[in-house]
Amino acid sequence: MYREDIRFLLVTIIPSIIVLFFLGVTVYVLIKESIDIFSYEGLFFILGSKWSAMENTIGVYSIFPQLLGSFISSIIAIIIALPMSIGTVVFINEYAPRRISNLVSSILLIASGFPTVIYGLWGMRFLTDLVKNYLAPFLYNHFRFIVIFSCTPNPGGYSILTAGILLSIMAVPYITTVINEAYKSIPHKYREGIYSLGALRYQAVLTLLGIIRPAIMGAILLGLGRAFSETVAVTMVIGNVPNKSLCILESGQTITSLIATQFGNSGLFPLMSNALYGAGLLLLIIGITLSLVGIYLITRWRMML
Amino acid sequence: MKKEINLEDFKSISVYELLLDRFVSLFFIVSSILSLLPIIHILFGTVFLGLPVIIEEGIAFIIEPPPPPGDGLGGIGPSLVGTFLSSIISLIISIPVTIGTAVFIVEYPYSIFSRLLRMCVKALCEVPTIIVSLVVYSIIVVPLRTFSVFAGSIALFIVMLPYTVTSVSSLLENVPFTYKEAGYSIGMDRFNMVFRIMLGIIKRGLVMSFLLGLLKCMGETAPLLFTLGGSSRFSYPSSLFEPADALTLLIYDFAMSPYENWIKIAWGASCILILIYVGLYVLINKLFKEIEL
Repeated sequence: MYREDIRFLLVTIIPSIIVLFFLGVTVYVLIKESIDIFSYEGLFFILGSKWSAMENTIGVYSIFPQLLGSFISSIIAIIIALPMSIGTVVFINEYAPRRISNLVSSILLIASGFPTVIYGLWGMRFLTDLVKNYLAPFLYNHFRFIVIFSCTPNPGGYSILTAGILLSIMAVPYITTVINEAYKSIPHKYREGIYSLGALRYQAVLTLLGIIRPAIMGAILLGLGRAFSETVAVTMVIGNVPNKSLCILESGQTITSLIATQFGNSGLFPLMSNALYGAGLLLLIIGITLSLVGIYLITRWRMML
Repeated sequence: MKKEINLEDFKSISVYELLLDRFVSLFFIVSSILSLLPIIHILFGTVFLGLPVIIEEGIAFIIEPPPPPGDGLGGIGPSLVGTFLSSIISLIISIPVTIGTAVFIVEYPYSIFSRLLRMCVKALCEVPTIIVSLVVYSIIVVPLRTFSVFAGSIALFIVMLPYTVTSVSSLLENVPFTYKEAGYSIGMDRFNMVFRIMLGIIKRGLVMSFLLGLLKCMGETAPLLFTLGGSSRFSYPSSLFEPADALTLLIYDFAMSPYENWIKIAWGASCILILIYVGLYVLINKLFKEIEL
């Protein structure tokens, strides 16, 4: 190898090792710091439902309610965001004139990178009012027999439902972008084929959406991963009380909001910071699995095309 | 045998189908309006609630430190400085690391290490930002025994890195092969070819990628939660190894506080953040219209 080539290799390989180093350190730190809580509490850490620093002498920490809160709020987000995203994608590509469709896509692009704390602030001011005054009473009064609407609504409007709605607003630009890319990459011959059979527009659109179904599945998983790991905006509207039941009208807590609110005073208690690192490890595993499976589905679909 | 063509099979579209067509169209249009409405409301709501606060305080809003709880209005000076400082330092660290990594990924595409690297960049992209905060707390804040601008910058750097690496490596991949050939044919070595020719060709895209990275850094909150400090927002940071504050942290803390005047400050700060964000974004798009990312 020439001297110059070695110089080239060094200049490029050192930064690459830094990148690998950071990922390695992330995993190492999370495992090292959380090993205590896993060896001390075992599976109870995941399946139990008590978070109390005062219990016993060293505290009892388990995060099942937070895990549930994370899942429920992200699932609400996807249920709301998915039809809206699909509708937007179809509108951009099939209905809107070019200028409007450009405008819509650039608004969505700006929104997808918006500081999340602004979503949170907006949610605290406007969304909580909406939930408190209209949505929660309506759901409670008319659908009380369904278990997720069966508790008295939180008086301030801070609830898992609020967090889910806020997450859905944040997820729409992202999911729309992912689905839009897939929709745009459908080969033109399919469209020609469908219209040549005399299909109406809605039939054509539904067929095209059928073609990208695996990509939509991928987008759902990616969106879930994003919603699952979102921190600040959720913390601001969810109320931060461990949820006791499946009811979404009450305040709740997610893993991320648990870490965000409890880490500051975790130095005061012996096992608490270990428990929070453990929660972080679970968050990392779940978030990365969801996202990578999503990415895998989309790339595989692209290969098949 | 010749098959009879039955004209009944080609019957015209039924009224039911036409109605359904209109109905489904309506669904698509309504859903896209519904998905845009909150975003536009956030943009304008923030400006409507924040701009009066800024106007009321005038230039003091971006210079003065914030007020004590419950009493009077001040500014967001130290936080603004903290935001700029931490995001610019993280940008400076990330430029060489991003370029080196991206060049490695593109120039050695089939080596095992490069494949591993690609996967790691993808995974790093999906690491929740609050975890970055936890990790940087444990590897930098604990050994240094203080929150610092430095720790915050490292956290932002980790968050930004996968995005810039992805976009720069896709830019490098799109450089036509003939340019490489031309470089080699005049006797350049690999180092000069990549760093003089290829980086020269993608110059504009490079600037755009890093500006977008900077934009991302300025809006991040969670990576700074346990690294930057935050509580020191009442005075300007005097060194890089001292705690500082960021706009996003200020908004987060003040919005959750019970004091009216702090909440007003939070709206003003959000308005500034939005103006910076949208302004820079529009500027980037104007400057680099032809480049697709």
